[in-house]
Amino acid sequence: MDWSCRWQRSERVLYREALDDVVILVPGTDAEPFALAGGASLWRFLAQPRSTGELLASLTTETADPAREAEELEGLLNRLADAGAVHRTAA
Amino acid sequence: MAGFGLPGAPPPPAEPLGPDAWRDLQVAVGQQRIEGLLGAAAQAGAWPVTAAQLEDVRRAARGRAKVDLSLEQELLCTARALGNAGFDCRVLKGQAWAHSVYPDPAWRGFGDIDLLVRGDDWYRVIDVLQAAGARRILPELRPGFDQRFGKDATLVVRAGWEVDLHRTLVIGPFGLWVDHDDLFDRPDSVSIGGMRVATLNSEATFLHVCYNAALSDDPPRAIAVRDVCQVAMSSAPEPKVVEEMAGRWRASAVVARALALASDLLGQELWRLPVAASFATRRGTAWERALMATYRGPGAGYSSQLATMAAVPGVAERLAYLRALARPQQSYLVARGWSPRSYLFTAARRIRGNWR
Repeated sequence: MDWSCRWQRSERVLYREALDDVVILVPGTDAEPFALAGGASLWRFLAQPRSTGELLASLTTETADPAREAEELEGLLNRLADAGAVHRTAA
Repeated sequence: MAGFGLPGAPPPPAEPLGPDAWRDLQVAVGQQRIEGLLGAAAQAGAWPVTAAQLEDVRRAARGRAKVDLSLEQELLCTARALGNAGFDCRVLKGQAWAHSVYPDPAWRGFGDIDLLVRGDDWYRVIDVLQAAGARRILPELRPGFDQRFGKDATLVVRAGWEVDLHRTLVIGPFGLWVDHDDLFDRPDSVSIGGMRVATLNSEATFLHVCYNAALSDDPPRAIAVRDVCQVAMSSAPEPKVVEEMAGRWRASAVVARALALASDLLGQELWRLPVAASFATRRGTAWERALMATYRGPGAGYSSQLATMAAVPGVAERLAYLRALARPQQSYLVARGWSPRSYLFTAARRIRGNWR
């Protein structure tokens, strides 16, 4: 896991918060909107560049398995990056 | 419900609604496209819901969001295409207001894309959009009618989304009285998906929300009245400029009615605000109020079109307008599924129904 990597949401992305979910659309020829359940807080934090560690600290309180939480978050961020919703920035 | 977040708005129910009332509320919320507003109210604890109702709210808010985002994507494509072709346009209504005067764009849904273009560019803009794959739903009433007298034309773009291309803000006499220089002067803008798109200036926006609330639907849509409140409370419109613009547009009666609706439907006494204060005593002329009445009733579309005669300048133009109303071109009638006779019969019946 690259802890020096920082993440930020893409400026081109269209989005709406729907209660504690966020619905995202990455503009493109065949783009369809998708919902990130419980993702509204994460999405708000991604308005600024954040490391995975910073995101974890902001989003979680006590967790039984911090390493697993970090891995899951990193996996989600990578998927969002693959979809074009977020991009990696230099540390 | 439409008043959530406004000071002194009508209070919500004390308990979650029963099944029938909940179903009725969901239908009404869907019609007004305010699923996001209900979601915000429920999440804030300002609208009591059961656990099952909260899931209904979540599902509806997500669905609304998906529609709104898809429309925004189409808006950006269309605005880009028109910009690349050298045309000036303004984003109107929901997509402009959601991103400018609402605390959260999710609170203000929309059902189509509304774009204003200059009258001189009208037919070339339609050509550009059609060349990009858009399909106009209805031909104009007669050749040249749109550019001289028309309000808008609806085009269907990809995935079935609709672009409502505007030449002015409303049908009827109040649409013809709009000063088009005011619509394109001193544009504001909003950022959507990192792209800045031009909107009306804040004073024209205030008049537009009033027109939309007072003239577009009968009965008025609650969200349209909410728009009036949001713009009036934004402190952006300059009161003196609004007064002068309303004078040019002959809009005093329309503004007064919109402010009255804000009081009656949402409990908002907007007259206390600087932008609205002068309209507390200026209600327009009796003639203007009479013309406003043609925008109400089941035949409002027809009666206001007929009332447009009051705003068409000159005998020759009035004759041309009447001729177009009385004898639409064949392609228009075919698209509506009418014969010349059934068209006139329907129009006469609807207008007669309005005057009963």
